[in-house]
Amino acid sequence: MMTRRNTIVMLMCVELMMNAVNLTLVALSRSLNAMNGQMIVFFVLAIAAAEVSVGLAIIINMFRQRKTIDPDEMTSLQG
Amino acid sequence: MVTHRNPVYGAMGLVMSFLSVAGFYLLLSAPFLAAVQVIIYAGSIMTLFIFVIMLMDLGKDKLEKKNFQWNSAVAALLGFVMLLQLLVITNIGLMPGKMDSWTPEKIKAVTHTRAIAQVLYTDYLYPFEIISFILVAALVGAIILGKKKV
Repeated sequence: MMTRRNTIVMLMCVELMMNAVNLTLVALSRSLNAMNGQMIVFFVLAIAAAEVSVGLAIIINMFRQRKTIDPDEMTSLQG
Repeated sequence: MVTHRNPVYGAMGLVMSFLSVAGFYLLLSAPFLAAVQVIIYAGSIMTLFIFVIMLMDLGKDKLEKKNFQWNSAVAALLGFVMLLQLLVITNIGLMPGKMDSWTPEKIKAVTHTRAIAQVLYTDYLYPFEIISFILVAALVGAIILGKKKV
């Protein structure tokens, strides 16, 4: 088992999982002759773009203040 | 993509996997979604990622080896249960019947872009408006978070 210490790579992995779900939605909407799945994929794409922009802005702020993007270093709330 | 220690290699692998998902969309007769996937994911989102990686100049990532952990075992078990469910549903015939009349031939006849537009601006009008509000909120939020002095 391996663990990651990089917030950017964690965000990229979230994108990868979202893509997997999108692929199943498109495949099922093709097999059921429906358009609903593709609509959901459309909205997921928009949400992903919003999520990535805000997430990367947060990561940049994190790096400016702490000089690291290790999520385990963020312990000022004693988490 | 997940196993590389250098985040830039990971980003390149992610671009490749996005492009291949776009190829899957083409095979599933959804060419508009394939184009959107290439433009938004492989174009803009990956540009953002690579810009941020370049801004930070992190060097190599540390990969920690860990011993056996219970949460990964539970995750593997849940994934296996999901796979079994999918196999059972598709083999026993529990799949619901055809939900709508958007056969691939019909989509090809009216072109996929027009088919998406017809559904998007009639049945999904309110989600469409809400998504535009969310995008504006994300835009403003990213600008405020990215300013020099917060």
